[in-house]
Amino acid sequence: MKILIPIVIIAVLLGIWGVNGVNGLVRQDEDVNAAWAQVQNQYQRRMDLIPNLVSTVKGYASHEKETLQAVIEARANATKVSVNLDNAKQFQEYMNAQSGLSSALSRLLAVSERYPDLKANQNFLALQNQLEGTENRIAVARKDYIAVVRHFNQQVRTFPGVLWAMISGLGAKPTFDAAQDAQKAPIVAF
Amino acid sequence: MKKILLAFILFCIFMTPVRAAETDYPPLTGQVVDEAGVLTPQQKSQLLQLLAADKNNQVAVAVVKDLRGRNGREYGIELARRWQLGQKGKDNGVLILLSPKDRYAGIEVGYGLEDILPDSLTGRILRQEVFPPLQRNLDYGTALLNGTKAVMTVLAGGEPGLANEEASPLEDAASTLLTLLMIYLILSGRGRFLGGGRSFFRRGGGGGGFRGGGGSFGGGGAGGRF
Repeated sequence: MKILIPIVIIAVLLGIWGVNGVNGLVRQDEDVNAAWAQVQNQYQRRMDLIPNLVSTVKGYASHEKETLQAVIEARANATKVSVNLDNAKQFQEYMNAQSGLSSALSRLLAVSERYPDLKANQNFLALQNQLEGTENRIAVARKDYIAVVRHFNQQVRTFPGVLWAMISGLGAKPTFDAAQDAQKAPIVAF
Repeated sequence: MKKILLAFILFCIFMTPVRAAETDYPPLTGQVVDEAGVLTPQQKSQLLQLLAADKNNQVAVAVVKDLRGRNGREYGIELARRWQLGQKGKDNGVLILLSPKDRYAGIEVGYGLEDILPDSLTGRILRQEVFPPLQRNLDYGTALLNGTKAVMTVLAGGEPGLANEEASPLEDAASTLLTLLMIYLILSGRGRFLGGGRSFFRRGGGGGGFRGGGGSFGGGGAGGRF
């Protein structure tokens, strides 16, 4: 009987520790999902800007058909991809589609430089600001996501987080690699 | 014994995780922080007067000595987050950032103000108010005053009056008088309620009369090189 009391106390303490650990991990998982939602939001915001941008550029630079078409296609591509964070392959596809859109867009903006009338158009200037702002938001959201995931993955891969991960069934999340993250928000000359 | 101690110390040193070199940020010493020292005392007080008119949102002006090798937008948002401009939950902070050395000027807008100050509008303010004096003769004071005035006008619910507006000298004088009157009223009002006042900007005798309220930023705003 005497030996039972310490055992019960230890069991209870272990139980509390475990519940705390699992809850903590679940909370962090929520943070990761929120950060990811923010990344997706900002990418969506960029896609929403494109139809307007394309039609504005078309009005001034109609013979840049190929560049415009490339943007439209890249957008359509990016719209098709859906992503589940627990699927690293989908994540990679999503990121590839978005970076395809990024390069198509930057070509379009480079081409626009050749049309002084377009560059002086108020609507175009506003769209350009919005696009830059969105690219900046994307960069910020990605950075925030990377920070949250780094912490989460560290937990999941080290002791005792490994235990909590096994209990709760949560696993490491995919993230952006350093090279991808090196791409910075664009800075424009006024 | 000494060897063991030495070994222990070495062990501790090696086990200490190496911290990445952290970017440094100027401290938030007031609503106008002039780290580069390019503003005259008069310009600084004019800026403070403009900023004092808004007691809901937290707007700060920073002139930094350089961007610490960072991209202007990046440094801007980090500084705004570090300073925690804006109230928690309302996220109503704005940072007007200028780095003379990097020839960079930008405006960072908190989450809560992105609808009132969308990127296209901050871009227009920069293009029409901030950049011209900089490009003309590196007139930092005028650039910041114009930009701050435009931002404050928008925050007060008015039209920024960009480009197509040209106020007559009489109107100018009238509005200056009105502004001065308002500032006087606000200042005298604050003086009376000082002490028990729930004024957002803690006015103190010592340094640091201005503190961030915990607002968050998500990358709204605009910025660029001049």
